[in-house]
Amino acid sequence: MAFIGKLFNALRRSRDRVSNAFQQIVKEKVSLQSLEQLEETLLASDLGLSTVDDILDIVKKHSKENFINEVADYMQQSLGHEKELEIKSPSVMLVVGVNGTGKTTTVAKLAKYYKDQGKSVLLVAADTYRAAAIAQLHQWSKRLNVRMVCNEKSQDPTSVLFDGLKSAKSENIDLVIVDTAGRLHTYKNLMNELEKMVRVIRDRFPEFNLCSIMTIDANLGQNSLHQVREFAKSVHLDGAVLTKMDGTARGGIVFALKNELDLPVLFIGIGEELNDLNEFAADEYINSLLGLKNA
Amino acid sequence: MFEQITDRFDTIFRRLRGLGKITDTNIQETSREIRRVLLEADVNLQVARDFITHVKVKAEGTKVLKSIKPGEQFIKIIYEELIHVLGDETAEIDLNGKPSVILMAGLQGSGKTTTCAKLAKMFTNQNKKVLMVAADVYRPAAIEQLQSLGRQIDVPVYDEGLGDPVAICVNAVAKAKSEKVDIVILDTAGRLHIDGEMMNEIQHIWDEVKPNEILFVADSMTGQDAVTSAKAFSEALPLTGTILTKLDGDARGGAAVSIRQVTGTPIKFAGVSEKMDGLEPFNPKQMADRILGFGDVISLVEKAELVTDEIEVAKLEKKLRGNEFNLEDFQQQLMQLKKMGSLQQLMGMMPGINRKMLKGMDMDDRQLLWTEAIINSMTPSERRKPNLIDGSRRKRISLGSGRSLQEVNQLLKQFAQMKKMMKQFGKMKPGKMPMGNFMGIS
Ligand SMILES: Nc1nc2c(ncn2[C@@H]2O[C@H](COP(=O)(O)OP(=O)(O)OP(=O)(O)O)[C@@H](O)[C@H]2O)c(=O)[nH]1
Ligand SMILES: Nc1nc2c(ncn2[C@@H]2O[C@H](COP(=O)(O)OP(=O)(O)O)[C@@H](O)[C@H]2O)c(=O)[nH]1
Ligand SMILES: [Mg+2]
Ligand SMILES: [Mg+2]
Repeated sequence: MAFIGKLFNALRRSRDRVSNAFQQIVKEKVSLQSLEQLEETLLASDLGLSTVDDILDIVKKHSKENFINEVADYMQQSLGHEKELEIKSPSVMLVVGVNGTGKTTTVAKLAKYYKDQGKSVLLVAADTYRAAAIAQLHQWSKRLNVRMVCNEKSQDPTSVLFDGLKSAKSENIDLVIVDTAGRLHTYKNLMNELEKMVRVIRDRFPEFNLCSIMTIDANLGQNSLHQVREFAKSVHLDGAVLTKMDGTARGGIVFALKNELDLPVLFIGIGEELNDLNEFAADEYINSLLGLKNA
Repeated sequence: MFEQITDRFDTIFRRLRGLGKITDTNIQETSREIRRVLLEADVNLQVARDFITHVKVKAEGTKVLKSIKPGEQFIKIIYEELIHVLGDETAEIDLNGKPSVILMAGLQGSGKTTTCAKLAKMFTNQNKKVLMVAADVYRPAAIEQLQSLGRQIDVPVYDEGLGDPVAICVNAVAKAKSEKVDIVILDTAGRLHIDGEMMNEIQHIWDEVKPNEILFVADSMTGQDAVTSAKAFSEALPLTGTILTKLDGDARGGAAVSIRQVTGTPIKFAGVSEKMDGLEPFNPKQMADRILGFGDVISLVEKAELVTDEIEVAKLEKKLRGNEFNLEDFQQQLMQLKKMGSLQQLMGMMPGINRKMLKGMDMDDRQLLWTEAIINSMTPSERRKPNLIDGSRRKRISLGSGRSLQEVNQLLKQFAQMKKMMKQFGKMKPGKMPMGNFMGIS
């Protein structure tokens, strides 16, 4: 499968390092030094200290057995089984996240994904802040042949959202995907703005199912955990898209996201084109990370 | 999460402050702890390892020195090493070209375009003639983004639509030369360091225009992989510096250390807002505070050193010995205390008191102000000779300071007691004066 190939490649470096570190332990027995090496290798994939501690405990506990399988089991349990997002018609999907993490591109990719499933899709350009944000989404909408609702003159994302939903209602659209401005959770007013958008959907368009997706840039580190925790205070998050997985970053933060914040990764972004979106497959991800063969 | 880190460091420090001398065991133990703190801040592990090796070597030197306060010294070693790693002095930007050309490079979404405009605005404010160049022909509406920013800050943008980025840059620089533009800023597309074709393209741009500055724009939230990307960019291009963006978030920003180490070039600016004025010169010291997550504690150690003027201390000691210490000296001490920050902060750095205890405690900085107000309402001669202060003078002082007569009486009584104590401990160090009861924390 092309996708597995791409992900397998993307994770090659990590796979080699992680599996080497495990092999080292098998060779040298579990020692302080070999454990430290494993710890560092796991950390390099952005797994974070608490996840890594859990894994090291497993290795220590099962030092005489086949601990690599135990670790894989633990990871699989952390991530749970793939959850598929159920999109009932009509639905509105808010795509939120920190600046530059890939929201607009992901909106376009998701539109393609659901359009290919036969759904009617409408885009809403609710990033009223970033320079040329509307123009960016507009280009995608043309490429996708999907209509986009925007208002060049408005500074108020909620009013654009309102227009979009009204229009979607009259056209019987299945899925409205909303591109929002990037924001850092340290800005209270920007977080309030998100809350306001959620309120408008709930109060004025109760017939729409709301689902919120957060983009997480695989290149970012432990701060992503904090971002999700804070965003979740303003909007209920249904899932995440882990973007830029075509680089060399491994996005190990996904374990902590699921473990600590119960946020499942639904998709991964593996490029800048419309088709570069894949459903997240936990087992493939884990096997690639650990350098195990995919079954 | 951050609270935890800060608390943990607090524990390390408290342990260190209590140490009579630094031993191998506690160097080992502490090193491991520091390593974890750094990793949690997203400092790359290899970089963290190097850092710790340096700290260890220096700490072992301290052990030999048998200094009086080895714990404090160890803290300083960690802190100073981190500042050093982040680049000691503020780096300049090279504007000696005619025109000077600045090439921006970095991963997707790191903040290149925004930073181009921020730089352009900064230079415009310095009365320079600036031209921005739209050389990202890949991302949808990238050119429109730069044009829109250009309109906002009133700086012209050169573009050729979706042409060849290398040609665009070459033509733009030629045009700038003929139009006597001072500074040309090239906005390039975001690219992955493993994308051979795109890395080739930016190498070509560099080769054709030979920019004065090649700046790597990196997100301060970047994780462990920062070394990989920064290394690849610095191998492909002769980088002259880094700009760290999105520092207005709350990432601890350990990637800064990694990037600094692997590129070997200074971090020149920091992005602190989405707005056009959100660019600041990079401050290594602030960054070190942030990465370690114990900003106020460290700066207090520093501040204490700063405000305690050696000569003043000597004078004070002499006075104390001769039992000549009066309210005027006390007034000065209070002023120094105030310079060091709030009581809450001051208490935080005292051994045996941890942050959690302070959290519930409501310490009253006003008490300090009130004490000061009372002393300020005295005449110089009263301050020098508190014995002069009789009943009617007390009333006047009370009125002048807005504090009750009872408070004035209490202050004078406490001061008399303090002097008596000082007589007994004639050789007491000035830092350890029993002033607690004047600050409402007795
Ligand atoms: N809060 C904050 N946001 C920033 C900062 N710098 C850039 N941004 C935001 O980050 C996002 C990406 O910035 P861009 O300047 O478009 O990044 P870029 O590197 O040009 O992106 P590509 O061209 O797509 O690779 C935008 O939403 C910016 O507004 C900063 O210092 N603070
Ligand atoms: N390599 C790669 N680049 C991506 C991916 N997703 C988004 N990008 C790029 O990242 C940059 C920021 O994306 P954008 O959608 O504008 O982010 P936003 O600011 O969150 O809306 C753009 O240059 C995108 O082309 C991905 O999965 N892989
Ligand atoms: Mg966007
Ligand atoms: Mg750009």
